[in-house]
Amino acid sequence: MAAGDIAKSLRDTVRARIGEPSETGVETVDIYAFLNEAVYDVMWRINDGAMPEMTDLATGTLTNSRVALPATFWREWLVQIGASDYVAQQWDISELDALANNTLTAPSATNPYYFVWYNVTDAAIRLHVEVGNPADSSAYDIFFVKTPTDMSDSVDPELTAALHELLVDYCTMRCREQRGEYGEAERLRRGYIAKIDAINSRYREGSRNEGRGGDAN
Amino acid sequence: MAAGDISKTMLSRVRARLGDKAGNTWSSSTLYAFLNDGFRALAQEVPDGALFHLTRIDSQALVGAQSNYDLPTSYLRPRIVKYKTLYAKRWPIRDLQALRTNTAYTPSETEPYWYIWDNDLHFVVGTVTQGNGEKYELWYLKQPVTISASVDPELPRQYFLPVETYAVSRALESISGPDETGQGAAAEAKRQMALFHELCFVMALRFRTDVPYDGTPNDPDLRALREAVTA
Repeated sequence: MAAGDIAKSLRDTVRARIGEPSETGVETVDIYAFLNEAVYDVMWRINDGAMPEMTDLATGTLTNSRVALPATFWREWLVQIGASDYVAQQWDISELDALANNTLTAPSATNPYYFVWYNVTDAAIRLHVEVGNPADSSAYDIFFVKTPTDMSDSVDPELTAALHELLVDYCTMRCREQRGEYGEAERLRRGYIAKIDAINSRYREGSRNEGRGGDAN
Repeated sequence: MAAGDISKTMLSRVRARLGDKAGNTWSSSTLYAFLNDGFRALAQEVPDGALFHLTRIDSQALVGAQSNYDLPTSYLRPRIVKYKTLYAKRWPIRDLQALRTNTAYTPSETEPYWYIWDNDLHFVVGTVTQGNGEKYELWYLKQPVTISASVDPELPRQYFLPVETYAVSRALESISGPDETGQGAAAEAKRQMALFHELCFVMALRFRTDVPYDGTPNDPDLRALREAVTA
């Protein structure tokens, strides 16, 4: 199977769903725009445990206790610091004073904290790590959800095939909207959300979803 | 990719959703205005933890005997303030008298307080001194940049969907007449705006903690998500 064949298959499934096997009404460029938009919508809604293909790991060493976020960074799950991989605790910006003055939350190499904020020196957003040493150059691991790559006739989607029907549902909804078929678009949206609920229910509620898949609720 | 190309792509997607690719119904300037309204609405609805791309620090030199300083032009809302090397305490305006007469509070350069009023950042520290180029820092959320055909948004792609949905809603609203059937452009504008709020809610769920605003991304609370969907 050549690169892009899966994307083309999704494109043509959408065409079948809207009853336009050829490019007579909705254009291919729009279908891909809607399919790519669908990936972002799915990634906001689907539990991260259900899309392991969109998770990534960045490693390196800090410079002055901070590091640039990975280029494909969307949202983090875990930050580990040092050769022994101490898990850093995410810290509230409004409580930074406590890291300097509260003995119960004193940062150290074995009790690290992190936050994401702009840095004046770098004039950019940085992941800041607090280990009690502003010049720290410890090793780090950032477990994060990555941003997707747009699909096209030559680029396949990164999301697993189990989620492809969601992309088609969403894209079909957008095509219906474009035609002004708003009632049908809303019906499709409700079905799309119901499928997402069903998938999410396989992963534990109210917790980090790196757990094993379970039966549907 | 040239400056503005990302904005132009957003405009194209909105036009595709509206079925107005040539601009026969909506001008580009109108749709850019709606997109910019969408970015501003997003910045008001989504927790700060999800808006780290909009964080900034205004670091300025203190001036001896001067207690108030202009807010940065891009200022949206504050988070914390450092006075020289110390984190200053935010103080409510209505309680200013306490800083003058209540012996429990003794503002000084080693116990600094701050508040925002009249578009200025004010320090209550006794008298501001300046010895060696010492600075203050205002850690704040900035307003989203106004996008155009030559200016791109600073928020990344994953934030475009709600913003474009907001613009679609506003565009449909602008051509809608009385909503007598509940099925025309007015109803669709209302539906699209509900989708915008729903997406903001989903984003908020991913960045919630017991502490307001900040938080590690988490999975959506499904019951809450269902309520949002069926609202």
